[in-house]
This record gives sequence, structure tokens and C-alpha cells, in this order.
Amino acid sequence: MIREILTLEQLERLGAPEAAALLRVRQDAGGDDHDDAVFDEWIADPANAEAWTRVCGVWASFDDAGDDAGLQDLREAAQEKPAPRQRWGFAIAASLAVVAATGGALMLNRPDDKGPAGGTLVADAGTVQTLTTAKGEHRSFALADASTVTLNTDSVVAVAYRPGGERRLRLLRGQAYFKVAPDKARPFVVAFEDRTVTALGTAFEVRAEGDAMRVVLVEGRVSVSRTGGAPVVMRAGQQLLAGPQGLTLSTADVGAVDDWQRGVVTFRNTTLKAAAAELNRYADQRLVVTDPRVARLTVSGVFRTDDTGRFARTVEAILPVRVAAKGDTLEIAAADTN
Amino acid sequence: MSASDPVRGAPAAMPEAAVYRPALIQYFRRKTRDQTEIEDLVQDVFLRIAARRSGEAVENLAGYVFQTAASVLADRHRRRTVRHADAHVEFDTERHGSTDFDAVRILEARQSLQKAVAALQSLPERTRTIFVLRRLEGHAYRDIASQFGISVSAVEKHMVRAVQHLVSLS
Repeated sequence: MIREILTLEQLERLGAPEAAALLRVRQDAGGDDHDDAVFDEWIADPANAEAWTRVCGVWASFDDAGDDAGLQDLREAAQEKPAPRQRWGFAIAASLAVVAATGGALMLNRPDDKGPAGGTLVADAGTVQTLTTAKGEHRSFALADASTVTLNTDSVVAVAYRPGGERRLRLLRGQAYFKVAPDKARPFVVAFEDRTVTALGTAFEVRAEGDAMRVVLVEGRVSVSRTGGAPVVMRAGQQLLAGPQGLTLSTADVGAVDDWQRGVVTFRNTTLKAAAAELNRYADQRLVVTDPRVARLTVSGVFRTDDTGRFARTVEAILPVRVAAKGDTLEIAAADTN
Repeated sequence: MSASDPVRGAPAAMPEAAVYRPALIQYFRRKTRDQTEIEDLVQDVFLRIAARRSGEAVENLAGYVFQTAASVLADRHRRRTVRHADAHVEFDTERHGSTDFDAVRILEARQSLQKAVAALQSLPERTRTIFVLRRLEGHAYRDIASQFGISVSAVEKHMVRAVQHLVSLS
């Protein structure tokens, strides 16, 4: 094996972070005595010692990876790589598709937009594709089997279709709506931590709420289970909250699933505190309510999720409150105080 | 409690021990393959720092840690022949309440793993696959190279890029 010889000058040119990564990788690849000698000089510099500490910390974080659920999909996908050259071509094609989807985001987000016409992302067998939205965005993606995934604000879904097998997805963050193309032979499975929703042909939403998973079933049937637990079958119009401890079924607000895909949210006698928390999911400009009297005031109506300022002006007009902009925040305070 | 469990002994001795432990292990692995000896050397670094630090803040802790590591190493030759009985301070588990600390450590490890997994998601696909094959599946560099039809040094470059990306998001 031909290997480049490292010199101290070279490492210094790279800068501490890259040099630390390079030294760690070369050590992992089977270090040599020359590297070790250069390393001793290099680490005498405190900045390099700092970089080395960070690199080794990150490297070691995988030591106890064990059966981490998020890694499992990546590991399986990494091993199903028959033709690397083609894969590379595919990866480029896929990222172009994502760029195209971003370009079309404005059009996609229009309330009158019919269905997920925009982002086309082919989830090929044996690869993991990550679908993401930034804060305030919502986007739809068409998968290879004609199922669609719509992501609400600040969300991440990993798609790992297995060749001829399960259509497997994982909600890593946020909220997503799935419209599943019927295929009895290939279960459509959405996982969140150790809980899974399995569907054959249906439409449902999954949302991460802290360490709980909320499932809203719009149509069809799904079964929800956690590793080692008995599955619960949901009927259309129901919602299920799957916390770390157990499952709770109740009647869903199915309209809300439609709402966010149209870029709006409906409040019905919702407290200002709860309304602010909901809208803060969508924008960097945060609504802040500190006064408990103000927090208890309620608001009703349909509001755009992309215009926090507009919501603030509305509540200012209809409630005894004053809104003050302070840097990145809009503070809603009682009208009678200073 | 023995010297072979240095992190457990660390909270009172040196609160940041868990942060430096992986880096110190790799540092000493460049000198010896003996795992027990590596653990002893790491433990010595923590104990020396704890003994000298007496409250006042050290300006660059990382620099100080590896300076200490170098001097531990320099003393290693002497200790090889005459092993000082007092080189190891027995650790009192009762007093240092290992349970809480272990729980925090497990939580921190899980959080850093979750961060790392999330960071992996945003790597280019090929870089991510190579990193996963090496770091999690343990494939040899040359096997990965031939699977992808690239050179070993190209595989190393992907690994370096992955590590830098993970560090920048950690």
C-alpha cells in the first residue's frame, strides 16, 4: 500500500481540526511509527490537543452504538450496496431532485396547491434518503411507489425502502403526513424511536412530541406498536399518543392535518400561551408570553403559520394586549402595564 | 474499585475526565497495545491533574492534559522496573457516589450518539456509507477501497471528511 508520509508542516497547513481527523483516521487504518513521531510534536500545541480531544470524543461516541434504532437503518443501507458507481450517479440524481423541490417550494406551499406535485424523490432500493424541511417550510415528496410524504415545519424523515420488501421510513424530527399507495405485499412502516406505525393503504400523520409519538389516522387502517408490545389497531378519525409508558386513543382533529399542509393553523378557544407555542414551531421570530394573565386569554380563528407578526397584530386588535418587538422576539404583554 | 476503572474514579478527581478519556486512550495506544497498561496510564494522568490542580483554573486544559500525559509516559520506564505501591490511589465508591455519575454519563453518551447519528444523515451518501462500513461494520480500509473501486487513501479522505463533519456538528 502506498501511503503519503505526514510532516508536521503539512499538518499545520491543514489546521487543527482537519489534522486531528486525519491523524485519527490514519491511526484507525493501521498507523505507523512515522505518524506517531509526528503526532508527538503535533499534540504539544494546546490547540491541537483540543482538536484531538474533540475528534476522539466523536469517534468514541459510536463505541456503545449497540442497537441504536437510528443507526440500524443506516447500517442496513450501507451493506446493501451492490454497484457503487451506479449508486453515486443515483445520489447525484437524488440531490438534484431535492434541489428542484426546494426551487418549487413556493408554488408547493400555496394553499390551493393540489396534492404533492412538487418534490419527486425516488426512494431506491437499499439506499437511505433523508427528507428535510427548514423552520417555516412544508414540502411534499413522491416516493418510488407513488406514496407521498408531506413534511411540516422543521422535520426530518429518513426513507429506506428494501428491495421488494418493507417500505420503511423513520420520523427523526417534527411532523409528517403519509399517503400510502396500496401494496399488500410491501408493508409501509413508519418508525419513531421504538414505536412503529404499519399501514397497507391509508393516509395518516405522525408527529414527534418530545419523546412521545402522536399518530392521526385520516383514512384507512393502521396498527401501532412498540418493540415487544402488542399492536393497537386505529380507525379513521382517531388519534393515538404513544409515549414511553403507554398508548392513549382519542378522537382526532383531522382538519388540523389538512390545515398545516395549507400553511394555516386553526385555534378554537386556544390559550395565547398554547397558540404562541404552536406558531413558534414555524418561525424564528418567537412569540413570548410571560404575564400569566395574558397567557390565559384565548383566541379563535384560522391563522397563517408563515406570518407571526400578523397573528400578533390580530390579537392586539381583539384582546387587551400590547405587542412589542424585542430583537428576535415579539412580546405579548397586558395592555395596561408598561 | 481498582485502577482499571479510571472514569468511575474521575468525578471527584477530575470532572472533565470523561471528555478526555477517548483522546488519552488513543494517545497511549500509539505507544503500547497493552489495554491494561493503557488504562493505568490514563488513570495516572487524571490522578496527577487532580493532585496538582487544587482549585485554580487551568488556562488550556487540553494542553495541560496532554502535557501531563507526556510526563506520565516519560515516567513509565521507571515504573516498568520498580512499580511504586503508591502510584495508585484506591478509590472510595461510597464517597464518590458512582451511581449518579454513571447515569449522567450514560445519558451524555446516548445524547452524543444521537447527535452523531443525526450528523451522519446530512453527509453525502458515499461518504456516509464508507464511514458506516468502517466505523460500525468494521470493514477493512482496503476492502472498502476495492468495493468502491477507489484507492485506500481515497477511503481515508472520505473518513476524514466524515469525522470533520461529525465534529463540526457535535
